[in-house]
Amino acid sequence: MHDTSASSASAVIVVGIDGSDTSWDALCWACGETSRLGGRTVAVFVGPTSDVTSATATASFAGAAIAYGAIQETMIDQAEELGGQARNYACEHGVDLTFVHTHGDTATELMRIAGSDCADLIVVGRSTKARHHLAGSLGRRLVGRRNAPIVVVVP
Amino acid sequence: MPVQRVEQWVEPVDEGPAALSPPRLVVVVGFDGSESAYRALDSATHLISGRTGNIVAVYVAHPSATAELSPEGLGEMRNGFDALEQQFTEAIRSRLDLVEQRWRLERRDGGIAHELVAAADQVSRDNGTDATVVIVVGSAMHTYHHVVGSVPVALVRHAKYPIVVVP
Repeated sequence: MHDTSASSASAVIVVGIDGSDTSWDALCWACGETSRLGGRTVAVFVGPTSDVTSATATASFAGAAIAYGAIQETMIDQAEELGGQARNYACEHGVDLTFVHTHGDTATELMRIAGSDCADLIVVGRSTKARHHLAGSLGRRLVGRRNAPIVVVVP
Repeated sequence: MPVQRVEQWVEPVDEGPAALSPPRLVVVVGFDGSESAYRALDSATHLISGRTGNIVAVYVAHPSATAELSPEGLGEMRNGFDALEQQFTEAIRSRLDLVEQRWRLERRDGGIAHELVAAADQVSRDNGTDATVVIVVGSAMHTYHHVVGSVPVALVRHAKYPIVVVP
């Protein structure tokens, strides 16, 4: 019963948020669709990996001066702030929202959460770093996956 | 419930009550007769159900590089495209007949992603500012991805409209 046509009773919409403008647009879209279809929104914030490789990468980038713990604390603060804002927004619009904070690769984590919640829709904002093209756009990576549910990329 | 909500994800700056004039939602669907194109069509139907708006199915006839070389081949291909257009109109009609009547098929020639965006631009111009335009495509529209690149990826990169990619 998880295909889109049968899901109008309770849709699960996963939205990736990172605090950028486009990710708020994505959240708006997700909340709009949720309130229209009925169901719930899962807002996902994916922080950087907390494993050793990323720690060393960050440390070497920062000249090994900044303690990794401090970085992680900032990330947690940021995540909490985002979660609060997302909840407020959802509350204003009468949408049932769950906030999830995970670590790892953004596309993989979004897919994982979408899979475990049997999501009908993944919503992401368009990459604001389009000109940088350092890590590749999240939207492009999600769109390229065959097993993904419907993906919406909001400009 | 609030159908007007749809305006907010496109113009999030305008946080005020968007209830003055209910926005139309125009869904541009890339249609090529493939499995995923039908799913995209279903998804589009889903999107506009309960809203004012309509579906514009766009069939982009994309001339393949080899056939472009000979005039005979080109003529033959054009005939083929016309036949396909007819066929698609019938196909969409039979698919949507009982569900949704607010649709039309548009035929365009050229690069697929480019033409889809052009169709969306056109629709956007025709409907003015009170319409929201969304592009819906299936995720594997053609088998020659490796030659021309994936359409959804190109759309995601260039388009200024929300893109819905249906697997």
